[in-house]
Amino acid sequence: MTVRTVVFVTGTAAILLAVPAGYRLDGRVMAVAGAVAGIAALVPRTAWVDVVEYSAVAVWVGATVVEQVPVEVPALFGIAVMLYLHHTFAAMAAALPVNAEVVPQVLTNWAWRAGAVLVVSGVAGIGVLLLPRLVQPVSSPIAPLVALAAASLIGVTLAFQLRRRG
Amino acid sequence: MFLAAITGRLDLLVLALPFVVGTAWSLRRRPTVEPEVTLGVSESLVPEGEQVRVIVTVGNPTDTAFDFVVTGLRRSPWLRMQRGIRPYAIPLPAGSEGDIELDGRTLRWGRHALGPARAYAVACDGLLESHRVTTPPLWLRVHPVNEDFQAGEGMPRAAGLAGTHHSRRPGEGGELAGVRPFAPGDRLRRIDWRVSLRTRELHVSATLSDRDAEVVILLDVLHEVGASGGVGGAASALDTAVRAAAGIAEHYLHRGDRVSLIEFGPKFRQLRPASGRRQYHAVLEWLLDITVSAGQVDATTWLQRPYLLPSNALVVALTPLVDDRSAELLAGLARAGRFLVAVDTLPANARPAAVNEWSDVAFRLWRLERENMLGQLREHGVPVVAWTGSGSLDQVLRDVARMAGSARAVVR
Repeated sequence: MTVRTVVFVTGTAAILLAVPAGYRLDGRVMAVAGAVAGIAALVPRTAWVDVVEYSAVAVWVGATVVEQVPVEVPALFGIAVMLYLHHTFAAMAAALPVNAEVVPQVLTNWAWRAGAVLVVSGVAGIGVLLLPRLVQPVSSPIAPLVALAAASLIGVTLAFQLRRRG
Repeated sequence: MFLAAITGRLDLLVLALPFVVGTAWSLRRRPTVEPEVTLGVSESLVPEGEQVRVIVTVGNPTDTAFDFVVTGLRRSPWLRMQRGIRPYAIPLPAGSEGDIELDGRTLRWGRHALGPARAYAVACDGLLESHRVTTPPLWLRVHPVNEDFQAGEGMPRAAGLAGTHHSRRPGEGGELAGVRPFAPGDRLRRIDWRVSLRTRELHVSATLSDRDAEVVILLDVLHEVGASGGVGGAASALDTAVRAAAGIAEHYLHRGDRVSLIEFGPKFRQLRPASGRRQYHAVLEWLLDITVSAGQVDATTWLQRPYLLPSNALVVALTPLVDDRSAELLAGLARAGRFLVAVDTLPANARPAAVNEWSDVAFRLWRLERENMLGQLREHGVPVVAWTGSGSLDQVLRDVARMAGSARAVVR
């Protein structure tokens, strides 16, 4: 139950952080966010976990593009942290039976690992955000293609790693 | 990440970074084989009501840690575990083993399945999950608690060559039968010098031989009556029969008699007569496999089996007497001149669930019919007593022993 509670809380928090600040305390927004995150916490082995995470990203993109909400770094990092915690604890909840008795060390090990990933990602994220200030922006039509190729390469490599045997 | 690459938005890349870093970190090393799981128990042979410790050992034979291993254990409902009903998750570093110790208590006699135990491992931050590994179940043998039983009365007819019962035949023994004149073959130490001096003729003390006896414990397994609550709880008819059988067998085996057991049911299970401690263990082992067998069995055919019951044996029949075939069997044994004691194992509070307003009346009618049947059995010379533990058979054994000394009329 502890793990599922974490999944619910982090999922709700990720969506609410993505919503523009003026709507976060709106009862209907909170209810929708809580409902979607609640379903994901109840059935963590289903696509509802993805629904929560994609919803948070979609809301964030919508807020920044449609509503022209400026990107605030604390909110951005907050969403990133909540999304990853939601993802990793949903993975744990999916592997554990609902009534399982879990040794506390399992939870602490998991939390430490997630924390380490977040610290490394945080440092890398700061580097990414500082990149435009350090490097002269290049306005080339092939730049998006290079970035897309790099992203694809990373994606394919991780997918291969996941599916390989041995 | 793709969206970030296409749109050039760095904020989206920041959102994707933990997922990329986390996945890459998780998959740097991955286990290649499934976890190992073994099931053990502190003792495979325990009495009813005793504590037993179950040990589920899970091992990680790989050089990569499992995030956790989830184990689950199925068990018989007659094993009450303090913990372990729920699945259990423990972390398992590379090349290590973990023991999950589960303490429990055996609630009822019999062979109880412990397991199978199942386990699966989760690794790489939940990205990988192994197949379920299953162990074969263990069988725990739970001996019945002996119902306390003592019988002060002698056997109706002792038959063997050695034992503790005073027989009615002259021979080597401790019980004085009388004094008679010396005859060739008499041992000198048997000479009664006091009588010999008084009568001026050699006399010897005659004794009755000490013999052992054979006890046949007959268990009626045609029906189970009442719900078993395990040790310390309500006893079903089969519970009472099994525990009483264990108590009676222990009592007579302790006295040096030969004891055999036999089922009245379609399976014709039988334990050959023997004496001693080994036979007692054989009795307990034999009792573990007692189950209700409501198949086709006919009392007349059953009685016609050869070498079924020795003529001199004391037959103790443990039966709930809810089937006409059981009554026919007892009547048949009595007619054949067996030394028979019937022990009524029907629980005092046993009654069917009320399904309508006629249930109570129907039950009372059935009780009356049963009382009638018990009366008829007594008229046939079958003593029927309710099982009350120690000394419960004394009165009937006394009667049976007295009847054994008198002339018998046997229907042929």
